[in-house]
Amino acid sequence: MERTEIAERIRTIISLVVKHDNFEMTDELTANDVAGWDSLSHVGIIVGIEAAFNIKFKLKDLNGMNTMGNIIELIRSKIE
Amino acid sequence: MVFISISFVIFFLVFFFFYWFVFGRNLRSQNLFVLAGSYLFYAWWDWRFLSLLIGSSLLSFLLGIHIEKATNERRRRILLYLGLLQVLGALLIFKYLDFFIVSFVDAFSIFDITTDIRTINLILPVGISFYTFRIISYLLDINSGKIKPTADWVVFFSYVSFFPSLISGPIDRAQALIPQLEKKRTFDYDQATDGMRQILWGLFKKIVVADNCVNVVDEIFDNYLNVPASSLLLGAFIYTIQVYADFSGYSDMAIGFSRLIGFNITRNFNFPFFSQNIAEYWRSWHISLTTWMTEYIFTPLSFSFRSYGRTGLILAILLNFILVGIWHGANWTFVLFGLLHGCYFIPLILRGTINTSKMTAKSKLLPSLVELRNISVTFALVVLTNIIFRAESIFQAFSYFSRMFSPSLFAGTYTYPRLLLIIALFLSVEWLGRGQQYAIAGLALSWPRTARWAFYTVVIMLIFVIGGKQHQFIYFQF
Amino acid sequence: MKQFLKRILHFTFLLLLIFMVGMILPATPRVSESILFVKNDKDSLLANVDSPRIIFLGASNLLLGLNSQIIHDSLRLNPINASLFWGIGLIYMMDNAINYIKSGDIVVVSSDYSEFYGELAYGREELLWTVLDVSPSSIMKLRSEQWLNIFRFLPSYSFSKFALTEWLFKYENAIYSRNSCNRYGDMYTHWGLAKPKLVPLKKIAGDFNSSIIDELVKFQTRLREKDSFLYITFPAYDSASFQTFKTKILEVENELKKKHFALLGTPYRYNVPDSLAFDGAGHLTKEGCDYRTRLLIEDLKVQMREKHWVY
Repeated sequence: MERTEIAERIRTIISLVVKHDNFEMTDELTANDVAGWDSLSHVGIIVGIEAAFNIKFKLKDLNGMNTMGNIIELIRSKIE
Repeated sequence: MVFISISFVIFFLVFFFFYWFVFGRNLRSQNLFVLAGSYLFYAWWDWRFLSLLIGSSLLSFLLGIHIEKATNERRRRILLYLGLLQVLGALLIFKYLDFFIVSFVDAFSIFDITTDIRTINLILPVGISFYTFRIISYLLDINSGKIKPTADWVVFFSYVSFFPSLISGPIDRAQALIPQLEKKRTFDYDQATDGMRQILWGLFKKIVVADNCVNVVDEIFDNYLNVPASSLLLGAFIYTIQVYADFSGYSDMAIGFSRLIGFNITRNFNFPFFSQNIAEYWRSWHISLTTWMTEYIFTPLSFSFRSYGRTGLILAILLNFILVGIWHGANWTFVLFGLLHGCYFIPLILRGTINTSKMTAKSKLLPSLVELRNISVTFALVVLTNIIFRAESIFQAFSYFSRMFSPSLFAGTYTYPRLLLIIALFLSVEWLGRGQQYAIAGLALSWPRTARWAFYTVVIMLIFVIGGKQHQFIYFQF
Repeated sequence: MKQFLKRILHFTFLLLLIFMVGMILPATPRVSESILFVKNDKDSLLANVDSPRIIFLGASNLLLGLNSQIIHDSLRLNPINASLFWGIGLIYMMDNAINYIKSGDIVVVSSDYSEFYGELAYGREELLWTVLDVSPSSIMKLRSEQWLNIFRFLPSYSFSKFALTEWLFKYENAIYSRNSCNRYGDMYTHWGLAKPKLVPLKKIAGDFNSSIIDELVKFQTRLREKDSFLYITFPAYDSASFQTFKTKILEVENELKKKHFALLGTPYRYNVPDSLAFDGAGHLTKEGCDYRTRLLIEDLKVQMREKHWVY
């Protein structure tokens, strides 16, 4: 799957959870840059991603999910 | 040494002088001096437990290095668990052993089984709740690859026992403090003056606000069986102000002293009483603890429970806050305190409302009616739960509540006008300064020097003249 | 760094300047009306009242716990209630009174129990205000232990003079003011008032301080050199205060007995019913003052008979 497609899907998921789409999907994007993406909504986003890409994250994967770029890479490694 | 004591003032003056003028030549001597100063500071409090502090630091330092070097997963995990066990074990034994024993005995006595187990009455090592969490975060971060262990034992030992925040926090993460220890600090005028200004404000909060509240709060709580309900409510309100002024004042001083020696340590409070919901409150209260808990407890828990949807999330929040409660002390009141705060999140989770981090009444003088309502509700929840926090037992807490929700709630009572005036002035200054690191931080930018110095002079005079009698910081017993 | 140190120095200098100005400013109107100023009135009583005299020394348990008129009428002695406010400290009161003692004086000391613990007997803020505002001549006579206790209140003393409230408002405290004492030195303005809420004693800080007992022994010796006699008696505590501190109270009694002081009564005897207590530990209503005074007179008579004093 192409990076851009992954990014688009993630964007939709995040928007659904935080209830807005006032953010740019750059590789450097972090949770702090998106209003409403806090520890409470974080799990919702993860669950959404797992469902959308039919993957399962492990606990240690969480540590690598600090920027959007890392998330996308992580998802790619799991899909392949 | 408490920050507010002649011995600490002398200690810090001497330390400051030697730190910048004698040992400031190179990084190594600077750090060794910080470590020496920190151990002297700790030994002054209680030299008996200095060996525990040093021992935990040494073991954790070595384990940190070996965890990173570990080639297989199993070995890595064993080393990690060893590290966590030694440091958590000490905390559990010193802080909670008697609590477990007493609860165990009480539980059996409900079934009329008497047990001949006595409490051990161990003394709580000062600062153990704080430095234990520093060490745990260090080991966990190494394990997850977030940071690399430091090869410099002086740096690590200083990180664990950093004296401005050793006794009552803030709880700095390794990623924040260790890099600062690895670079030579150079004196910065703005940083130092800002530090002094923050110390002054912390002193004001502690001596003028908190210490004046203590006597009134003690009077009401000690006498709660004989005062009208309106007094009980007033007492709960004043106690809430007291804890905030006391703890945030102490944090301000810790941050200020750190800045005077060139360190920027983490913020601990962000005007929590102006929060519009409980999530925002906990993002603003004892920030270093709640971010720690979020990262190492809540996030893994909520992740593990994620297949249970909202229920899983609620369960994670409840467990997280029960632990926050227990961290404060070995008493069922703290457990209940934590549980209740966890419950406050349930409506937020069920509604799925996501809090925008918009500042209350941003760039406006007064909040809107909606904001005011939200602030009041949140504050009321906090005030009510604080009754449990202060009570000596759950029974006493419930007794207090039942007496408070009675007709005499509307009875007239002594209103302590002088104290309420102090509180009103204090909250006004906090409100006006709410966008900043601490309420009077902005003085540097807006006022001319004469005005600033006049302000500082007045604050200092107020501290001496209307300051209350000195009392121990509440958070020292943690 | 240089600029930082320079600024700190300048600011400290500014503060010191303000501090010095505050020290030099006269006593504020509020302080001038306070109970601390009765010390001067009592000193003139000590200087001028004729023999035979009976002098009472102690803190507020004598200020608000004695009716000297009854003493005058019963024992036909001239009573002087030379007691002062609590924070001034027993040591200061003894050091001050000894200068006025005449041959044949009877001195009755009733110190609050808390003064036997910690450093309280060496005075607190009230002592500082007394030596700076009320009786500056006594500054030179202060001991080092007293200075150690009170020097940290110097900034608040000095800075309090800049508070407008000290100059603009006259605090008409009905009970505790300069004009509260009658011609014998008893506080009497509260005798006609309704009983306020009784606040029992909450805390006695510090460990037992045996040096206070030693000071009493020294005081007794000096009195004997002037041909005077020392009695020691006990404050009239309400039941709650008494119960809370019973162990400490009995410890004080025990230590006093060990030194063979002439004791008037026992702590239990002076443990009064709460109906006689006024607003705090040792403070009594008019009925309480009369009651306690009569107990004292009984105890005095017993002692005096034993020593064949003519009364």
